[in-house]
Amino acid sequence: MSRGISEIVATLMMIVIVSSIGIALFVYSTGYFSGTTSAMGEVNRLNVNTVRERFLIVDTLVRSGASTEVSAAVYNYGRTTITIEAMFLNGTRLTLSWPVEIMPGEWAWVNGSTPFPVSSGSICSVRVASSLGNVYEAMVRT
Amino acid sequence: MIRGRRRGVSTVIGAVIFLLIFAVAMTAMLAWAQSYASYVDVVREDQEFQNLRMMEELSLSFLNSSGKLLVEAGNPTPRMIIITQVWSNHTVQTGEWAVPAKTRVPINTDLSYAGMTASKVVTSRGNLFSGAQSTTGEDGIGGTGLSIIDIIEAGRWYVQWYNLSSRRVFDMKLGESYWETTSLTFQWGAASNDPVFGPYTKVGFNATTRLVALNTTMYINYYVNEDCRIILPELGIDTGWNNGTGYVEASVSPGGIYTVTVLYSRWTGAPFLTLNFVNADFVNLLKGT
Repeated sequence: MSRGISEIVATLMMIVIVSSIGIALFVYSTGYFSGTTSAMGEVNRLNVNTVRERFLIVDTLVRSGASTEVSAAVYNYGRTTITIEAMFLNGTRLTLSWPVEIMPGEWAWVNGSTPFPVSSGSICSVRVASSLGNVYEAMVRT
Repeated sequence: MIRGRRRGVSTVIGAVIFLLIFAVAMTAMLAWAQSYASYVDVVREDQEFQNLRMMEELSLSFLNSSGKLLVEAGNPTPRMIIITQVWSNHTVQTGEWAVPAKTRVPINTDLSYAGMTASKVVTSRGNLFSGAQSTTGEDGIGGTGLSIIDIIEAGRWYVQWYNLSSRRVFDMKLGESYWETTSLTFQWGAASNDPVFGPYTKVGFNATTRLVALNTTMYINYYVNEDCRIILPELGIDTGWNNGTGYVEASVSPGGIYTVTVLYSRWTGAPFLTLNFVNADFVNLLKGT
């Protein structure tokens, strides 16, 4: 009799333990796969937008005195809205008033400044960078 | 009997849990595969777009049409090109001008032609084509233009003569001529009433050519009696109007091709202009054609 009870108890305990471990494993794997899928989806969305982002500098103005102000006309010929977040003059990051958002098919002036002057008549590189990391560089004579 | 049933229960529970985890894993794999497939699609579309973009080509002439900029765009490719922006110096006009395959289309703009030193057009596929004035001038300089390609092929100066209503105002086109030297001397008459072009005494011209740089610095020396102006649009050089002797020193890339426009306005005095180009040659002469 006592042997029968302990067998039932043992069986129940085994079922409970197996079920608990199984459920825990299931919940963990669900969370893991869900998290991984979500992260991969986000990475993919960023990659897709990065590929879709297309822009170029169509015109540039460099005004230099005690400091230097640079204006770059950026044209978005892609299918996604771009945000220009940084501008560089000869590798030096310029101070932007604010990030410039440009809709597909539109263009906008991006204005930046630096406290350093550049010599007149020199050839400079002007580079703009989007929030997704795409860059475009143009050479301009000051 | 009891032992056998117990084994069956564990197997079922284990199998169910395994199937659930497998289903979750497969769902994740499926989602990832779909997402990757969409990324590959976008990359493929981008490649197609880049191919179309690389195939775009335009031949441009920037002309004067009643003081406004007229762009004549020729599309030698088998696909239609859409121009979305026309720039003159730092001013833009936006729009949508279709240039069908193998055709030439005039684009009238509201941009002022006077003072224009560099122009460009931007296409919907993000190509930028730039050029200089086919006929250059200001204050009412008029006349029809010659395309840059024609000038390159000619390997000489394309000169347009004008009668002046006042100093540096090119009103009426008198005629054309071609010069074939990079060291030219134009000298005609000694007095203000000496005619320069037929019976005309107050005469101006604009001369345009394309030169290839032979060194890192190109010099243009001039000696003029009222007035001349030299423009190199690709380099952003515009001397303004000058009298007497002087020179232009341009930093250039050896082998680079540059448009040079010389404007001359004779109002009073002896008409003469001497130009000498150093470290430069006509494009087609260098090619040996």
